[in-house]
Parts: sequence; structure tokens; C-alpha cells
Amino acid sequence: MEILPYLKGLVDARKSPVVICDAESRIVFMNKFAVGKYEKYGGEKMIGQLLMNYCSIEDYSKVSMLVEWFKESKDNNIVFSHHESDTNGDVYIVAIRDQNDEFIGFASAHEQRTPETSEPYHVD
Amino acid sequence: MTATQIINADGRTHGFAPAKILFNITNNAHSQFEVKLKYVKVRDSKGSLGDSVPQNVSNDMKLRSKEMETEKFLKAVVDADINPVVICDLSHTIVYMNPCAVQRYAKKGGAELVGRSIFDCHNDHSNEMILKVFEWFKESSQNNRIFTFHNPKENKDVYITALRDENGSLIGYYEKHEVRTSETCGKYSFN
Repeated sequence: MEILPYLKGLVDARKSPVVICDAESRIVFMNKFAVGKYEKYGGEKMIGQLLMNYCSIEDYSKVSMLVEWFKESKDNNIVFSHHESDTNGDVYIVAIRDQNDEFIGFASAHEQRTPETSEPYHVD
Repeated sequence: MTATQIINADGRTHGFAPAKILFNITNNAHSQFEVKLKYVKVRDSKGSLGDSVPQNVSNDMKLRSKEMETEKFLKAVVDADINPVVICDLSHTIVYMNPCAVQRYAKKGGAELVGRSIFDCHNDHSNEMILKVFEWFKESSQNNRIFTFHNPKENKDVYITALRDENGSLIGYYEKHEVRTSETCGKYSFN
């Protein structure tokens, strides 16, 4: 069963940026929204680059501490990063682990907090 | 050392490639990697080169290796979602459930639901609505998300979201839960 197209479709369908880094903080995947949002930094060309190339020293220091925390325990998996007032979204950094719970990277995750206002099943 | 079985186009086993396979396949998933080609070139454990391989085949293998690497990360991201994720294909068959979904729908069969029809898991009215949304998804590549209900107990809005390939063609759909309760903990609070 080829699951990749479904997973890629799912992450690309998100209306918020998803940037995935490997354990060495190298960007390995950006969804379509992230490519558009970070176009001024190179968009898709950021893939393969180190995250530190796009962060302030202070931010990268936080990320480095976070990575060490993720590595400390398989139970350390999510940290609240900040709130984005313009989108009313809470932003998290989540650990990515393989099937053996080994730390293999991390990703950003945006959670929109504005309640839905449309009617259920409103397809017209 | 992990080895990759190399299989010729005629199905015969060509040999076993050690981790230093020429095409830089470095992830663990390559143990499942079935290479169908006539000639391959691998390094043995001493670094010696074996048979030659056409360049285009080499590129195909590199591409496949990269896809497997991407799949590993994407699967891990979806697995890490604290909300249930259930993916269906165009025949309405469940093709993937993340761990949260497996746990949440344990009473209905959990992981054993993969491979079953989504219609087996809902009542007639819900199935009718799923089909209505599915038809709407098919109408236009711009039709991609429908709000289905609000779960007041968990303060969640639940959607059905279209899954499309890079050409915008519909390949499936999934249920997406969005929690509306704002975060209250401090930034970068590790404890």
C-alpha cells in the first residue's frame, strides 16, 4: 500500500505552515502553505538547508535546547512555542519519532483557535 | 549490518547489498526495498564494487530512497497528532489510522479497521452525508473542506478534508479535528 501520497496530501491540505526538520535541524519537508509563507526566504529552496540559517541566534538557541529535551526522554514530545495573534493560532514544536520511539526530527504545528461559524455539511 | 535484497527483473535474487549500497540508501526502511532491475552495482562490506547499473536506474533508486525518507517523516508527523486521523481512499476504504485514532476507535476494532469500508463505521445518515461531501470534493479542486459538527465536550470542530495529489486530483479524504481551547501554559515550558 502506497501511503506517501495520502500523507503528503494530508500535510499539504493544512491551512498552516508545516516545516519538518531532521535530528540535525536540517529542513527535510515543507508543506505548500509553508513554501508560500516563507517564499521571501527561498520557499522550497529552504529544503535541505539548516534551520539555523533562518533563525535569530536567540531562537536557534531555544530550538537547540528543545532538541536536547526531546532526546532526553521519549515522553518529551511537545512544547508550546508562541501564540500568533493575527491568525489566532497556538504554535507548537513537536518531536518526531520513528516506530522505535527514536528521535528523528521535529516539526512545527499550528492549532487554530477560532471557532467554526459555518453550518454543518454546508456544501453549497 | 543491515542488508538490502537485490532482485533481478526476472525475479531471481541477485544478492544482498550491505548498507553501503552505491545509491546512498541510508534509512532503515530499505530492508523492505525490492529492487527490480537487471544489473545493480553495490559495494560489499569491504567496499569492493559489484556489477554495473544503468544511470537512470540509479536515479530511480535515489528518488525512491528520498520518497521513503519523506514518508518516514510525514508518517511520524501524522502519528504525533494528538487528535484522531483516519484516511480513506476513493473507494471509501480506510487506508491509515494514526495511533490516536486507533485508541479512540478501539471499541469498533482499532487498527483492524484499516482495510475496511468507512461506511461500516457510521449510520445510514452519516454515510449519506459522507457521500454528499465526497461528490462535492469531486466537483472541483477548490472544494476541499467541510465542517461536519462541533464536539462541545472536547470543544472541537470536526471537518472532512479532501486529499489531493500534486496535480489537484482527488485521491481520498480524512476527518480532521481542531481543538478550539487556547493554550494556557507558558512558552517553552519543558516541565
